[in-house]
Amino acid sequence: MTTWPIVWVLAADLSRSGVPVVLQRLADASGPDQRGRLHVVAKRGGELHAEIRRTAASVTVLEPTGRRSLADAAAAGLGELGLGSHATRLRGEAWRRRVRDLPRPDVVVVHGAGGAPLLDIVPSDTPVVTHLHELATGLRRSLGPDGLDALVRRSTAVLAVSEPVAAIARAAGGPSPVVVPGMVGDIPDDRTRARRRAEARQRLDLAGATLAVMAVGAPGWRKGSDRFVALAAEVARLRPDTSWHWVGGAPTGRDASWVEAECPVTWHDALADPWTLASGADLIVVPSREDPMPLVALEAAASGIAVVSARSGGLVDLLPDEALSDAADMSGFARTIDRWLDETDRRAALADTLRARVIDEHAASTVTCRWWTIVADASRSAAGGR
Amino acid sequence: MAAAAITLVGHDASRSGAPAALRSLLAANARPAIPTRLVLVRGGPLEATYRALVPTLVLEHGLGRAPQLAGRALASIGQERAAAGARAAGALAARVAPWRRSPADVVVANTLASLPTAATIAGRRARLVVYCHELDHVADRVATPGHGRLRARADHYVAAGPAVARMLVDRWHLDSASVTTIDEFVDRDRLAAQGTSDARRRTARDRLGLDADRPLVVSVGNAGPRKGTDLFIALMAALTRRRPDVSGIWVGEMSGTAREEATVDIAEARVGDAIRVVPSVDDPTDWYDAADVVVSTAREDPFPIVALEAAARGRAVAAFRSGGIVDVLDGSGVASLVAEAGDVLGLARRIDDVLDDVLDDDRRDPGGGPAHRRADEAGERLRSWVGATHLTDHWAPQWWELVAGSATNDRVDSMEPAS
Repeated sequence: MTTWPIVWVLAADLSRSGVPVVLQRLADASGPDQRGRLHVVAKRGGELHAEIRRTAASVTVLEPTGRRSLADAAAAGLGELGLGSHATRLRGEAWRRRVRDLPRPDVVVVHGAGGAPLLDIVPSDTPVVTHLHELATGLRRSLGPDGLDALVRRSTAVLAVSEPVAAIARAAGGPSPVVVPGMVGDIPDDRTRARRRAEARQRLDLAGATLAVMAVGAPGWRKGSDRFVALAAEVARLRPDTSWHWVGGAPTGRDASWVEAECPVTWHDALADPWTLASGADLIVVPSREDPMPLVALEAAASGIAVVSARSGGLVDLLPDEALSDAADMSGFARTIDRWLDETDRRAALADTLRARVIDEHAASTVTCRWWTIVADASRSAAGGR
Repeated sequence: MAAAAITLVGHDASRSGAPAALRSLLAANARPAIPTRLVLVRGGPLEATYRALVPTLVLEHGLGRAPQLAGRALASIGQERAAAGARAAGALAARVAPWRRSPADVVVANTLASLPTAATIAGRRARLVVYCHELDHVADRVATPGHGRLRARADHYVAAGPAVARMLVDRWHLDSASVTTIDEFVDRDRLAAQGTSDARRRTARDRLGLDADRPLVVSVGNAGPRKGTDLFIALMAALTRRRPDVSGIWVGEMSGTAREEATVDIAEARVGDAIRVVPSVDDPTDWYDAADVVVSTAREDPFPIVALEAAARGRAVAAFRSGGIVDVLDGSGVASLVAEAGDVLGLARRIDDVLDDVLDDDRRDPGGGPAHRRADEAGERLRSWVGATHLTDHWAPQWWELVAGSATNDRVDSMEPAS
């Protein structure tokens, strides 16, 4: 019987966004003997905290949600005063106290670049596996301009959620990256899909002939919610039989929304299971500026819904060229959507193809098995080296 | 009885809308006999101008920064009440200012952001007036814990445009009698112009080193999602596909995340040759003059001064139907360049149409140059409207009347611009 290594997974947060969702699915799909070795350490908590705690051996959250801890505030103050190294030490000591009761890790996985700052709490001789879930802007925001080079150099193995991410990691040097993609947690059968679709369309009050176009995610610049609105306005001119929905909340805060304005998109709050609404879609649109491997596209495919996307990120490998559009050519993107809405049979064929591909390559069991194999290998090779 | 003294409170002395409006009001003080002084939370480029007009105290100078910094630190660890206390302690400095012997009868918060400071300065005795320049999302962002109590403490609200008034009455549920609308305005010298619209365009382009014949779309403001920099780039991408000769200039600060995102967008849209970013300037008049169309891509703007300034130069203004721009364009009767919120392609088509629409040869400038376009006709209509209704002369007397009168709790339900 395989003895799995003790793994600490370092994550930025446990919110219901893409990177933590992958972690939750990974924990769920791990075998009982693997789960017992899986310790999650997150800088901040979030909606998935309780769910991950049910499956992982432990979950440690280092910072309170929605505010700074005293140590973090003091460290930030030191940073402001130009005492960056003191700040790092102060914050690191406070975090190390939080993890001192955890078993010493055989290997550490940096799950998303946002987890990299937590490497401060790890003994320096522990092998590190870095699993990158970000493209250029995300990496720069999480790691700073030169942070990726340092991270991959510190890593025994580098995983990437898609080939475009792997290409960036490759350019940064370090070990040759291996693609370990995003995964779907649930692949509904035909009867379940039909039932969910009917229920969702009833919730959305969609008439039978209305074509529902939907997007899912936290609205904002990265997810391209502005593009979705522009596309909705244009496609509605071409065909008034469409209804446009965004599941994941309305743009707000930094991505300020419109005031006293008519909007062709209906914004739905973020849901624990967005597919209670999104299953009603005839077409899922991914207008993202930067999305390394959008789970929404994989989930749509698993649900048998066709996907059309901006030509960026990981979907370039998943979708056929006819389902990709140059997002800078908004007119062309709108025409692509219009075409797919027009051709029902072709849309169904695309959905079937995508579903087969996702079952084959993105099932949680398949991806999780691969992940554990690579992580265990990294642990063993480092132990052999020592 | 009129007010014996008025203290105005501003959040900073930047060149943005609310501080600029305050400068114009101070310069046009219709009641110079009333002692008026200014307290700023932070300084900025307009500070010297303010000082030349009224006694001015900046709270966050030198050691004065300590309470605000402490407030920020306390807020970051969730100690909101203590943070509010620290900020209030900073505001108390205004009470020991040189004018402490003549305390104000009326304290005016020039923005919602300066309301907590203004309320502390007002104490329990002085009347508190809020000149609200914010719309919903900015208002939410600047609201500190206890803002609800502060909102109720205010005796009167001046709304900088109908959209702000609708927010205060319809969505904040303030008594409509406690809200008076005074639109934003521009100084009369903005109208000063020599020569035809076309001649001004040629002269400005010459001065700025711009191509004389290339259609030009200009936007002015600090870059970011609120002003819709992403939408401006998308708009230019759509326009360049329709007419490759068009160029766009964004005049305003573009830094941090806004710059990072704009750089990505410009590269992805491959419009690097069509878009230029010019840092914020003291006076953007030349940029308005150089433009064929000035565009406001703002998602949220209570009553865009940029639109008024561009209109004062006779430039057509294009925008999305959101916030106060609707009041400007509908009010002036020039609504043809408005697209629904976020309809980038719709707005691109409208702009393209007016750029395309060349007037007859007999109406062109004898000196040649770029063809006159329907855009100029729309711009001239806007110019007439601003000149007739939205200059400082039209609104400043009412503003001072209202503020001074509020010491006696005179009710002022509505205001019309002075003719």
